[in-house]
Amino acid sequence: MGRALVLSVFLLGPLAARAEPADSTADYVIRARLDPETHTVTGVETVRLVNRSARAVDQLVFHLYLNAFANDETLWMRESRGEMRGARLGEYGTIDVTGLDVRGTSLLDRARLDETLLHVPLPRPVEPGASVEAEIAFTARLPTAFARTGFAGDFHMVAQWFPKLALLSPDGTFAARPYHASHEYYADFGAYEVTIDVPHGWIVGATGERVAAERRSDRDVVVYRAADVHDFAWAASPRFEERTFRAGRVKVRSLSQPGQSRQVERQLRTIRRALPRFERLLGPYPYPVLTVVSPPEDALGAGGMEYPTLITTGSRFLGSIGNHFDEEVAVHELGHQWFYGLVATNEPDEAWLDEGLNTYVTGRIMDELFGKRTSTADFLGLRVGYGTLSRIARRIGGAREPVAQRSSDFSSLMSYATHVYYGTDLLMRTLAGRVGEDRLSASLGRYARTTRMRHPATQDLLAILREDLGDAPIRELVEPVLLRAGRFDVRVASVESERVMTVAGYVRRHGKRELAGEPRPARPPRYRTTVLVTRDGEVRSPVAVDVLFANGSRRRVTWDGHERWKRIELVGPHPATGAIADPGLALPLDENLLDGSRAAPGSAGGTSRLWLRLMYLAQTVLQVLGP
Amino acid sequence: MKTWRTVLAVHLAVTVAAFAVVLPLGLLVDALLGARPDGDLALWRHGGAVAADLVMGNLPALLGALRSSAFFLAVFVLISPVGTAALLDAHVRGADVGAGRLFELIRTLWSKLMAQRIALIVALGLAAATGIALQSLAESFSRDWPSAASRWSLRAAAFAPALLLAAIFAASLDVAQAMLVRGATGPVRVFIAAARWAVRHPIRCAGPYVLVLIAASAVTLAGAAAATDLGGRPGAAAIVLVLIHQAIALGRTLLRFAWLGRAARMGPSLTTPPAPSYAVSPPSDP
Repeated sequence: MGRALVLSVFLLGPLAARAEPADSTADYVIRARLDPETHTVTGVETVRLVNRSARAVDQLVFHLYLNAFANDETLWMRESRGEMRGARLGEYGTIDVTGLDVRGTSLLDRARLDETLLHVPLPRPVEPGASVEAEIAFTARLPTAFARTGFAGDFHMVAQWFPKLALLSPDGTFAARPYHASHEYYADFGAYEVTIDVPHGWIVGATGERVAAERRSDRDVVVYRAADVHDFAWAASPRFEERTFRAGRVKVRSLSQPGQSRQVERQLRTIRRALPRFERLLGPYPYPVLTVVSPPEDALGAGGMEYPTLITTGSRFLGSIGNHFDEEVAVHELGHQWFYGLVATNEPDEAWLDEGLNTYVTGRIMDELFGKRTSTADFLGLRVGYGTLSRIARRIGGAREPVAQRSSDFSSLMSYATHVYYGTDLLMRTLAGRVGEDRLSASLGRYARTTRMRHPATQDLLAILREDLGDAPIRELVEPVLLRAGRFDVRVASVESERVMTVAGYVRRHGKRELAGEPRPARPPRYRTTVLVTRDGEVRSPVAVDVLFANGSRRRVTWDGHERWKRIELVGPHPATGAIADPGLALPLDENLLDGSRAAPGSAGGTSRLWLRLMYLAQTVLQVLGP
Repeated sequence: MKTWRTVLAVHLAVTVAAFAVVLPLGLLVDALLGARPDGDLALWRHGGAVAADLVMGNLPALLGALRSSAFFLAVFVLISPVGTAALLDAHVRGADVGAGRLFELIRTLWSKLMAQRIALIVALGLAAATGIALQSLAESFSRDWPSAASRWSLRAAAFAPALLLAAIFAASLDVAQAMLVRGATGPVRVFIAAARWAVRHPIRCAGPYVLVLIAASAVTLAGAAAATDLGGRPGAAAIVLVLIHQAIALGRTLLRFAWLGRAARMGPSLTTPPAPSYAVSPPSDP
């Protein structure tokens, strides 16, 4: 690619309408050619890095992500044992840099390859404010569809496929970590112009907007441009079925496989409804296009992933009966357009800021769209809400770990996933329960709006939350969970009611001390109720406790939750039948809901409904197997 | 209906067995939830959050209870041919089965009925193998089809003959059991004869069986729909749901009884009439 074209891209600037453009730090011009027989992409890229740090930069560091799949002994493969999201790696993938020039000098021999990182010492440092250009030739061999990238038959999801500059930190170092199985990505914003050369008749979907297309002999060449983005991915297949529609200002383009209509329509309908909700909550989607790629069933390893202006979904033909998993994938990946797409946090080091917050917002929107009790499943009487899914997942995750830690520091991939995704969801739901959903939404929205096109960190979010919600919720609830694996369990330890008796012993009457008679029940009858509520774990939060009475009434007492226990004493005309802590499940971080409620002796609610349901179920089974 | 006591007795036996199967699980849940003022209603609240905690926090105990339930279920499966024999005997003789008659049926027929069930399992294995082979063929044939819907449709269509075969074998079991009750001997030989006859007369044999199966499935689905609407509600809704479910369970017993009446009138006539293994006394004239 000639320098003139590079300049034209940089000078013409982005075509996308946007509110606050990012500082364009890493700009790319790439020419790529797909060979569908060998599933190989050969490419030439020109990348320009602007040194926006405070110090001179004496090297470039590139991610070569596909090398994670080069063999069974890579760091990524050892950690994952070659498996991710139920898919196993089939054919291996690699990326080889075959040429590397900076200012006309070949640096290939001086470059040091460390599996998925390429360190390139520069002939002379790049001073702050100056820029450097590198021209790189590379060959990317795609693996079978796996870990967000790869091919299946003639479907190609070309992602993490080019030498990508690591993010240049303000201190002049590159935030470059080896590619762990639990890691995702972190890169500078920039402008991309990518020319994609595929066999004639193939349909391409990519990050950004298509600005040119032409046929050259038996090949089709398309050009895509995107600005204010930090990654570029594309998909190609001769079988794609294309649908387009508008969701407000945004042109949505769907590329799916034949026979997926039913699932794809469901997902697109959901995207149409979810997009304005995300915009209201987190600020406008700044790009004019969104491409939704639905991989075939044998390429689901490449599904459920987000790239700037392009998401991949995923579904199985009969997998969506009675549940909303298809819709959830679509909403979740759409949400990533904000969390990491626009609010570009460090995914490897602080995954909770993108995956976690996005899981919370996804759950909120799923609850809105499909009902809180049924946002995950509604099948033959089995109703599961999104919050319940988070509870189940977090239980599977095992021992508690701090949520806000580096992804590769979690004890296992399962622990990483359950803490980062679902631990954050439960934490944010609990925070919403404590401060109010509207206040939390407003604060999250302010965070998303003020940090878009930037690279905020955990402390930036906490500072905004603190400003908006006060110090106590952050100190007592958020920080213990994020930083210290804090636990929270509220338990109703006992509920007792006894009839109030007249006083026995000496009493003062008419100024004299007299011995009262035998104690007898007070008239009219009154009852003294004592409820003991305890708290386990470092997390603290005010808790509502409902005390239930024999006449059907209830009285709510709010315990500030500061101490380890609270004895609630009430006197009234009716005995208590029980007490329920947090009756509205405002604090779903509570680890055990079974002990959050207790009946007074003789007032248990019973389990007859469940018995009868189980009986009927057993009758059905026995009638199938029996006489 | 002169045989209503037998039908009711079999239905009650199933209900009692269901109670036994549920007992370990029910007692455990009672221990875990019984101390709540809202009891098991909590399971339906908050999008199943309490139910999730109950399951995830007590998995070992729940699995233990399920093992006990499975034991009771296995015992019931071993006893259940007696119920079938009683229903068939009531049809054959047109009269209720008394206690003495029941013991006679257990003594003379239980092992034979079990042998026939084992033969059915083998036959169903054969049907399943046929289905799997046909599906594999369909899968290899449609591997390159671009449409997942078309691939799934072909696979389902390829499995249909196996389902039909399974229905024929299942219907033949009842026909063969009826033949045993009528006095035929050689349970496996009788089952094979019944199956051959059923394969030659698939509509006549499996037709009514499948219709009954569809009707039973339909009412079961209606029960599930009722559970979706009424489940987790206190008061009258809970009572209505129980009544609906029990009516459905009784309805399925009646459907089964009706089908067995048809099965008792079907089947080949064996060339060598076997000697009855027990005396069939005709109902006495009033």
